Amino acid sequence: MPLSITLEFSGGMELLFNNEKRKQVTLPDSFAPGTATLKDLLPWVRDNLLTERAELFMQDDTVRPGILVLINETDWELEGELEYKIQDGDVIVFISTLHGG
Amino acid sequence: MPRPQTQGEGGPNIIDALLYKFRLALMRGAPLSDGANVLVAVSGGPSSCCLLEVMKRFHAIDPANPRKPRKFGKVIVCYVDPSAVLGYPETAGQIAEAAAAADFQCVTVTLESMFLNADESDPGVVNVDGPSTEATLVKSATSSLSPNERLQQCFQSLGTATAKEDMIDLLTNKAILRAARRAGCTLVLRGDTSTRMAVNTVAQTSKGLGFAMPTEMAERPTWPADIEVVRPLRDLSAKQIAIFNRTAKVETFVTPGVTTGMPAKASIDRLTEAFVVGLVKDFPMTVNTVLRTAMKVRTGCEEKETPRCTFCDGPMQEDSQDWRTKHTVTQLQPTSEQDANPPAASVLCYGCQNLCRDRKGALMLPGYILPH
Repeated sequence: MPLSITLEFSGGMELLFNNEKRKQVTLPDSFAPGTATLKDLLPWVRDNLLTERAELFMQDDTVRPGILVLINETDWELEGELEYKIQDGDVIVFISTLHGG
Repeated sequence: MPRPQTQGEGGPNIIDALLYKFRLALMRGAPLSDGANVLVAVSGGPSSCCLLEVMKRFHAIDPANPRKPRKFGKVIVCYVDPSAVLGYPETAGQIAEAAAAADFQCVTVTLESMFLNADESDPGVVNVDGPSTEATLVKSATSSLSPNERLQQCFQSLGTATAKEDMIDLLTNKAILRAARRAGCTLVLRGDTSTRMAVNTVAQTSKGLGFAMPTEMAERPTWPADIEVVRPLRDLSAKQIAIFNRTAKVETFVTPGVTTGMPAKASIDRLTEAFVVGLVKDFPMTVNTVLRTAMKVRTGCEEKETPRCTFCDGPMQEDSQDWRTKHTVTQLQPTSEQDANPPAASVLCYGCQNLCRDRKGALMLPGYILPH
């Protein structure tokens, strides 16, 4: 069964995502439940959902410093960051804490 | 088994913790301000919207003790509207609604109003003239341009994104203080977080404003003399504010600025922010270290006799012109001309002189710089 998750963007992040603050997505079959991680998700979000300037979202293989990621309302630093295994129904929030957007 | 959700357990804790730190910083910054009227500067960004929410909770009547007097008299929200140069005029209405929801009065002042006197009479304009190294200020008592056109002209003649951001900041700060005086407020609250203050410390130093650092960093600045400016979120990081806003469901209003969407090196402020925030990723104590160091700096700028810049009201270091002449090529001006039109260096601080140097063509500034 494909993974279905909710992504939210705020603090100016929504400007990079066509001004959409909340998006429900069904991930393609390559995201296998139990093995797909955030490391796989970030490039997919960049390539499929981002509408503006990828360098303001990602730096190397992670998010740009200053972008806060919450997984089910918990700071992703407590969840293993890129190694976190995505589960069906997860809510992943990206909040920019940067001044200039 | 479903994953445990931390919102229910962790949610109120961050709200209480943030309120506690806010109270502490407020008591340290304004210990004698009981009953004072307060102006809360709100730009619509995450930290100032957080400040508005926290003030709402702080100022609310205590349900357990309804007869307990409130600390402050009136609370007024102030928004300085930069839409003449940045667009997005709808932000003013959104902030007015947020203020009304908190039961606070809202005052909106436009950025271009700084080209008029406080009583809305016309002070004329000041043109920055001459070569950039030896600029002089030329006062025109009248101008056919409207305040909006003057601001546009001022903004368009600034050559760099850094100068444009600085001009907006400078006029915004002046407008907040003017609004506070007009509304009878003796206390101004600003939403600067520790992250923002650390970024500003590095950025302002790079821009030649290091002399004013003690005033910027002080918990109880001694300038301006008639208004206390306090930053009650100074012990909280931008990340804590973001989590608070998420937990407390605080709405923010994003207004794209001069460098929004541009690469990180678009301006000194942006580059400094990327630098500090990038360091924090690997060295989490960076912000605290920068701030604790900056708070120890003493430059003598808070002495009573320190002359003040007529543009930004910041302290002027008297020998700053000697420093500049040592590392720049300057052209000497005839003495007689200087008497009529003062050189920029005689009335502006080093940072404002730099702002004037970043111009392309004639730069129009508000007439208040040269009152006579």
